Amino acid sequence: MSKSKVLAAFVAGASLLVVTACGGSDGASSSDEFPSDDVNMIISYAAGGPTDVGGRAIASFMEKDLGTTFVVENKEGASGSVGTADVLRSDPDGYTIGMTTASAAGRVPLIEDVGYDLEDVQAIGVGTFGPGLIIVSADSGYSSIDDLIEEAKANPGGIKVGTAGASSPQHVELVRMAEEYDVELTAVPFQGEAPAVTALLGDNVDACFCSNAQTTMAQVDAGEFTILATGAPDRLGWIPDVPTLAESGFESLIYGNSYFILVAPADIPEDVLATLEGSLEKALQDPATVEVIGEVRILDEFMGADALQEMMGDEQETLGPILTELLG
Amino acid sequence: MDSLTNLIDGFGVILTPANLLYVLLGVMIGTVIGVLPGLGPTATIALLLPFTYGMEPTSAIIMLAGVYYGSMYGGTITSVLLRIPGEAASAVTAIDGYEMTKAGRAGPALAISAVGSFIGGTIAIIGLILIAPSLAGFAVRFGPPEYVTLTVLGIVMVTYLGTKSTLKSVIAAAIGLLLAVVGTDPIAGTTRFTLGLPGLFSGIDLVAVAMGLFGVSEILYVMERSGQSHGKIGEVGRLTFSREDWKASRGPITRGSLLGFPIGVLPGGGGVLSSIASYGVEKRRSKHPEEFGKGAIEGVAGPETANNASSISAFIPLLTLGLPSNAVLALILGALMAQNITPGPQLITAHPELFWGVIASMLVGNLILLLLNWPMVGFFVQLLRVRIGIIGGIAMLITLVGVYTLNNSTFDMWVMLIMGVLGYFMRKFGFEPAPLVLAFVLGAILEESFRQSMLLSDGSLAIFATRPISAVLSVFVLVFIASSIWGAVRKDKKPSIIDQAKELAGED
Amino acid sequence: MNSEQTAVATHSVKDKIFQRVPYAVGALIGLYFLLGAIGLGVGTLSAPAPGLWPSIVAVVLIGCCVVGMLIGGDGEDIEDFAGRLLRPAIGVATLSLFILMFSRFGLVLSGLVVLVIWFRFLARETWFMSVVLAVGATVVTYLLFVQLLAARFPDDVIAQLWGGR
Repeated sequence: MSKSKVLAAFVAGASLLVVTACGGSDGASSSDEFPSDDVNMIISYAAGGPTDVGGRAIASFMEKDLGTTFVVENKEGASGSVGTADVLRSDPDGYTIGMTTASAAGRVPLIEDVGYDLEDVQAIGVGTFGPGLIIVSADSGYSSIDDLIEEAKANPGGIKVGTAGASSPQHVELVRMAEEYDVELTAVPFQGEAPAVTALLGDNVDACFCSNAQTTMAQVDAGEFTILATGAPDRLGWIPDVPTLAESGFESLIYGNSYFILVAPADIPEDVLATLEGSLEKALQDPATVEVIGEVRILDEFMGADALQEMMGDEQETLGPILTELLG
Repeated sequence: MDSLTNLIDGFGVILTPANLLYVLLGVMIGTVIGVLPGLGPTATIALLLPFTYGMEPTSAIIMLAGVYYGSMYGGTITSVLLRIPGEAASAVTAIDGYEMTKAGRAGPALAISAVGSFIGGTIAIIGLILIAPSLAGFAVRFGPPEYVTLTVLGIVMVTYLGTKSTLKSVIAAAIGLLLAVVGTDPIAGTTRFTLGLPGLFSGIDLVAVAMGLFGVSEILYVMERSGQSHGKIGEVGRLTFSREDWKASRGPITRGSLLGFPIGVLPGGGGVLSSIASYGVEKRRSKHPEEFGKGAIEGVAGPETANNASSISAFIPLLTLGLPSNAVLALILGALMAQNITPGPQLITAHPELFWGVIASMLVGNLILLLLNWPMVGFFVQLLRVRIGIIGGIAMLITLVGVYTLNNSTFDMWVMLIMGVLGYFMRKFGFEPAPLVLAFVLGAILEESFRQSMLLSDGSLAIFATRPISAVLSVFVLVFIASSIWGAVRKDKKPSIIDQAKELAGED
Repeated sequence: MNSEQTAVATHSVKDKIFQRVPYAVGALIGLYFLLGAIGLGVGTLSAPAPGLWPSIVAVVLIGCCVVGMLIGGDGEDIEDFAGRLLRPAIGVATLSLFILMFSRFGLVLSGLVVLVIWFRFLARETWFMSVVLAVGATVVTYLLFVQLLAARFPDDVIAQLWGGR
């Protein structure tokens, strides 16, 4: 559904510049206490999606915490790059921030010319987290990731794994699994996580490498699905017994995850960044916010500006070649 | 009768002034955006979504659901009067509905649409109550190979839609399939045939294609002669259908309900497929198929009923499995999530008030839509008193800005205009736009499913014959093609294999 | 707008060529997609590449168009063009003008200008009617989309005079 409309981004971005320039020029010099004006939060995916739900929950906490109004707006399109471009093109004063994904900020610029690069991004921190999960039907006969891998080795390409799309982080990891470890699972891309999960539910695929969207978790909670492994770098607090791919013999496969992150344009003042980062961290400890987002979507340990920026840099370096080969 | 008591409880939930107001608000917004070209239910629900975050969950969902099925009613009006399909599902209606308008039968076309939609919706709701859970379990088994055979069946029917030569229909359909390829490859994720235009990276927008090929080309055609622009599209004529109309429509409405209901349940299925299927079946069954495309009321009644039935049954996978079957329902899922409600297998037991409230609201909403739309027919057909030149100008303005709202980009306006020019020339050379538009819709599903099937089967085409549902659908495809060839060979206008067509309709 | 339009006589050589124009255009479209698809790579059935599907469809399209060129058109379907292209062309130009103006000046000014042109010169209304209708239609469209449905249109130079957007 995502609309690649760089033209639209350009027009919208230009008009946004005018708006922010007029609105922010009088009160927003960084010597003032931040924030002294409304904060615009641009969500670069459509209303109702995980970025939107998480972003709005976080905005409504930060609003109270920082004592200012957050004006939340969805600006979807082109795998999140339209909204992200708008944010990165705005004044670096902290009054325009964005809720987007690590993929839109770091991966999409590698594949398409979206008018920005990771260098233009100042990460504020991870809002919500969608770890990659390898899932099978409860009655599939696979009780561990090792079962699945053994079967894949015995029968290369015989196991069909649904993913949320050819450019989803999980799909890319399956390609890397075949290239780097010679373990061949056939990745079958669908248009999003829900159709992939539907295919698993109907036994049209043998497994899914998706994430923890509500649709997926509903089936896990209902006992239909079993989680065999996670693509996260470390085990997850809510499923401590489920191994990571990295500890199952695939040391380098730690990037099959979605990070829904808060970003600002590069060069925002240090103190403003610290204020936003601190408020985000508090939001993720606030019980009401956690309840809306869902505990399974919050990192066990808060990942702030520096750690996130570093992770995205590493990810770009590791995945750059394969992404351009696959999708460029 | 557990369901009955539950349903009564459901009525208890929604028969409060506030909730009734939300139903009314939802269906009215739905009707309006259905009428306005371009603005579809997806965009509208996305706009409304943030407002629902502060509402009661049940109120939020009944309002959004109302917008969705209300838009199905609304989309019909411009399709019939101006040949401008407000959304994809009513593209089929534009074929015969507009011809009826030109023949001074806009009133009967709109009235039968309203009644058919009501009946289709109501039958689908009853189906939802009775067999929702078991049907949903069946529907998820519908995988890529089944989609391939279903869409191939759809495309075969599409080439049969035209009134002119089959060769021309096939050519138009093939161009539609090729236009559907433009944009991001559904499997590999790379871009194709974009001419380097960023606006094409995500493909050509269906609404821009449909409105251009149908609506804009029609206006250009009408404007051709200065004398014509002072004329009328058609006479106002009678406002409702006659006894004969009703007799002709009864069968299509019944079959449309029975076809639309299961197709709506399919993941990714829904509106357009159900209306194409209904049109194909009706034309095939008809004793006078040559009248289809020239204002046959069956070609309006059946598809309109089917798309409304499918828009209701599309809720089944969401409410019973937590799986949205199309973009609109994905948004409604988002609304539920924001309310901290997990749609899924447990929804009916965990939130019975929501499930049964929504169902009761659909019954009420469909009734409101009927009461709202039937009398409104008299109002809408008055449009036909206005001179074509004036209607054309206003329609163009609203269509252009409506298309802009799809992606907030003038790019889609250009696409629509180019499609309008294409449609104009197609028409001059005796090609019909309908096969192109409908093949365009089916093309994306077909290619994606075909390539998924090949990944699943390691490249063996046998997958389409070995899976039971797919095998049955393959047989239908073959029967349909064979009987068309047979019919052509015999040079007999009447369908020669009515029995097989009956079987086709009956099986679905 | 009846379907019984003046049919082109199917006798002359010129008409025979004319009838084949759409098939030739169709074949060229098919050829464009076929070449593009081959460039994308066709792959194999077990690992279909992006070009597989478009090339299949393109071959079907080219095949049908070749058949069409061989057997020729069923001439009665084709309508006369002579002297009729002017007004549709003006129509397309007017709509193009609207799109160009819309992105620069917003809805109101573009709507007014284009509708006046349309009503006066294409629909042949009087100047008075044209202006009245254009104002009415533009205002209603503005209220509907911008005020009621909160559509995000380009900045509107006219509405801004009244503090709108």
